[in-house]
Amino acid sequence: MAELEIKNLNMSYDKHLEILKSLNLHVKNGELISILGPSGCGKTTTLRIIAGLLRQTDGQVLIDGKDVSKLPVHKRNFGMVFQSYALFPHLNVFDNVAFGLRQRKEKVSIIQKRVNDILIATGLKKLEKRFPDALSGGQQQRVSLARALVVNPKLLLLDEPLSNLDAKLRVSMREEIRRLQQLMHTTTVFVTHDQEECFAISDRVAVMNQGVIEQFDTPQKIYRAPKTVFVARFIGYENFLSVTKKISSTSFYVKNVKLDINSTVDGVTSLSIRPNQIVLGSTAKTNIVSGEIQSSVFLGNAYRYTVSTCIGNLKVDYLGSKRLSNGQNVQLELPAAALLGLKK
Amino acid sequence: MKICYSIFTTYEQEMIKIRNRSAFLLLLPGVLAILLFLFFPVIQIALPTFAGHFGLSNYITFLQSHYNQGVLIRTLIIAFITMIITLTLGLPLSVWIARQRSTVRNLLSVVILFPILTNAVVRNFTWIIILGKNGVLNTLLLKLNFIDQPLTLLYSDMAIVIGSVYLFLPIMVTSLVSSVQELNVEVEEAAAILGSRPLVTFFKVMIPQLTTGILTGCILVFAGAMTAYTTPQLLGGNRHLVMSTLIYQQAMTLGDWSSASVVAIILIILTVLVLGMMRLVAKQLDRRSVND
Repeated sequence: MAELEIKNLNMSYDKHLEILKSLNLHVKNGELISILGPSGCGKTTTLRIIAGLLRQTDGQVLIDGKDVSKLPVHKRNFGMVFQSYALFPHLNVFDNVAFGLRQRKEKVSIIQKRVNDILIATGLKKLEKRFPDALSGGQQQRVSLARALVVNPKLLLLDEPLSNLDAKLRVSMREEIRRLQQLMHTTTVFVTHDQEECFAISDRVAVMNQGVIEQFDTPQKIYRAPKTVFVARFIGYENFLSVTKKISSTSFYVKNVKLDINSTVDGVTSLSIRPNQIVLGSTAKTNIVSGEIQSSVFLGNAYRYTVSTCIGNLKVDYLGSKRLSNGQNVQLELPAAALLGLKK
Repeated sequence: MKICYSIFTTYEQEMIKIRNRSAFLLLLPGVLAILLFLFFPVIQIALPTFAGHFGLSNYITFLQSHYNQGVLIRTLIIAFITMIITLTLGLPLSVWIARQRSTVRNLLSVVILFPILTNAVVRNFTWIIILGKNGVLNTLLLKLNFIDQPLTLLYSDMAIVIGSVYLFLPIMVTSLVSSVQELNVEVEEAAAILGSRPLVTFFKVMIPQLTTGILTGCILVFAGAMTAYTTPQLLGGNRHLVMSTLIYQQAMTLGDWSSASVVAIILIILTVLVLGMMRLVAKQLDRRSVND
């Protein structure tokens, strides 16, 4: 249980290759946050710096207001779960889980009790005598989680812990992680490239791109109101329209079409809308653009049309049961409520 | 379908039979070569040890001699100390080499192996030059005023150990490096995060995972040091005999081939016994094979 604060974190391997660019992050006590981003965005680097496995070029990592930047890894009292599980292959499940407590020179009776409790909580009690190579991936991940949590770490760090598991197991494991995290009230940083995974269990999500956190918000806000082009694209927005001229903070020209939006951010450079929010065949007077159907794809719940318009090709999902033919002219409405203003 | 299947399997079985027969034919030259070049000489060595006297009396006579006992124990101790030193020096060195970038690692591996490429006699002569009475080391120590008169370094057990360590370190390192390379670094990082100091991680996490590599290295070094001839001959001289130099002395100097054979057979048995013991110890240490 602790509060984590990252201040102006910089990381570069040499002068030209900047991995992190003055990163700031504040995680509240008992909160589970995710760092979401594509591979190479610096999310794992950030986690390894927090853990102390990497030394930052510049900046601070604060735990409860105290700078731990100079503290070696083994004195930080964190827990970490690795993508490869990283269990001790020469120790059985019980000894794997007991490792951290033994390093802390706890009494044998206390070790016995705490390891027992966590093995029961994670459903591993029956497997305590097994060695890692006799466990399935899910079981190994559970041992790894138990091993990290049994020491009551100030901070739990999860480095893509689910990416080696199959789809079904991934869902149940992420719920398991959330359950244990809530139970022990451990401040947790979860690194992933899977948005569904992190939306499902996080209190807040930091979307990261090229060493910068683009947006740090609740999953709902990230999903419904992304602020930058990158975030919108990463969570599945399509149809990006470059602003030609700004009329007011909620009104823009894209080429010669005037489009209004309801809510806005500073410095809008693009507008975006999800394919299923464009209204095909609308009779509205504003936010209207006309175009011609180029092609269509059947998605199951709808047809996705590519419509060429004077502001570019737009992707439109339309639920009508009959497929519209190519070459047909259609009116598209981009409702102001659904249209987003985005920064670069 | 069923008929097809059974026809197919008889066909398969027939193929396997033919393959087995031809495989045996292919193996034959190798088997013959091993019998001829490996076992025949050993039998040839063993036969004269029973000549003249019945049973094991030649062996008993050999083992009753205090001088011979001394040689035997010296051989064991030198081989054991050599093994321990190469292991102690080799472990950190191997970890360091194995964790370098691949280009640096390959370069270091070549450097480590380089001494093996030189002739054994030449290699030992370098130690004669270093350890001799007027050698490099004595000259240096005298110049620095650490000692008043030259130390007797050459022609001692220590000289044999030094020469053997130099000889066998590359072999130990080579077998350890491949083991270390297989380790998952994240396992050590996990240990560190759980509060384990670097030294504890080394002994409690890394070494237990390296048992196979350590065993291989130890077996190679121990067997090599037990049976080495050039190094003890050149660096130990005539007064510090080990089993292999004793064999040479018995056979070539004294012309007593039967005694030489006795020593040779005892050396073989002893080496096999010690290696068997090492395997047992390693199996005990590797708890995974015991459990579950």
